[in-house]
Amino acid sequence: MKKLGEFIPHLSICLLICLAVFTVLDGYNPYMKWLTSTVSKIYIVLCIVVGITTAVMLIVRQRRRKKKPKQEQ
Amino acid sequence: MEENKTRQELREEQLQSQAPRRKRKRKSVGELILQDLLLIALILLSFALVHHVIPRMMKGSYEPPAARDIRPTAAVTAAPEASPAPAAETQPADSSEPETTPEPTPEPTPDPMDWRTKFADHFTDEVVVTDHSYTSPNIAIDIQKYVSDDIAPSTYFVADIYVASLENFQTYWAGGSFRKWMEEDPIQCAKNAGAILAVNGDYADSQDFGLLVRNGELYMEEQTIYDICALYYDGTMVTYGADEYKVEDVLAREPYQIWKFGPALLDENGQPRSSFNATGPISDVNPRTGLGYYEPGHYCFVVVDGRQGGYSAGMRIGRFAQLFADLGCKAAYNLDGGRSSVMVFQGGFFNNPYLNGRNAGDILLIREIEEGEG
Repeated sequence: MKKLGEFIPHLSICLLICLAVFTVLDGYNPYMKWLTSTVSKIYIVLCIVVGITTAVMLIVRQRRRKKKPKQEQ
Repeated sequence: MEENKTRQELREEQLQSQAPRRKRKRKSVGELILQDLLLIALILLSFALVHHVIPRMMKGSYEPPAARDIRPTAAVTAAPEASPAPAAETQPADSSEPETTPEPTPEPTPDPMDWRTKFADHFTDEVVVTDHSYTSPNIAIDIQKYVSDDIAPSTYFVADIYVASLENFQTYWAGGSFRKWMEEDPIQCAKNAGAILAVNGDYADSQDFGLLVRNGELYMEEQTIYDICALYYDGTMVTYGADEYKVEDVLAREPYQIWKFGPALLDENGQPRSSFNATGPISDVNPRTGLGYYEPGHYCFVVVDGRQGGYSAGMRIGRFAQLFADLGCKAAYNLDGGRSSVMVFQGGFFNNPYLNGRNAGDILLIREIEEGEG
């Protein structure tokens, strides 16, 4: 689980870099449907899920860090 | 002694406890970047595989939407033969009414669909073929090569076309029917279709959306963000901006062909549009294929060679539109370009396609109609 937690932010970066690549390619040739095909739509959904997961994980960690000093007091 | 052992044991325990820590040593930034780059490469390869390679491999198994025949009942076949007598002159054979003094016969108004008479001076009684022209009782094609004197040279070919019947102007799917990703050598396509002259089409085989009509068959009826070009059964060709048409209105006018690549090049006055519905790279200097319209029965195909050093650079979309305006076209439409741009005449390339062209999904063609066809 910890390893997965470490991997997901990397996956998020990689997926979004690839999405940026597809956006540029779509500008060059929109008829190839880089962003509008079914596969692309699934990919975008995956990006959203991984992005949200990363964000939630970050928020949870931040909250834990904030809680620790309070417990020590 | 015992104390020493205890210390030694403690040290060993400490070392043992450090061992897993060593194993889980943090990766350096370089290693992390390399790992991420490998992951990016893996994602891109997987996407390419699922998005392009597998669908192309499965091209034969993809079942496209069933085509719906939308040809009008009194289609174009009536045009080339003798023009029918005006209805006012027709008298029923068994008329019992007494004979009256016949009124002077009114001058027969020329049938706008009688293109054979209209363009008679372009047609010949026999088939005459040269290295750049073809004439027959139904078709007149003349292809001219031009070199523009812009900043970079551009070589382009204009095929001036007259047809006696709209059926002489057809489209053809690679493999004979519409299949996604089904593509074929354009020369082979032209040969299979019996084309005298052909140019590449609009890359419709790669798409499963839009408004698509070919040879009077409706494949898809969906509004898209792209400009379309409609060739109607009366021979008129109209281009529409993405927000200038409604699917039901276009279909109500009985289209014979609808292309969906674009952009539309000329405005309603036959002048280049002020802006084009195309992204930067598509508007840029490229090899190009376009379709022009003068009047019903009179069209032109234009192919611009490009990406070939000092021979021909290609054209920007604005320059391409100006070319059609200079030719005197009333409407013009941009088709697929780049490596796809080809003009096939009498079974061989007439232009010099970039990298010898590529397989085409569909072609626009001019052909003779055999007796009993259509």
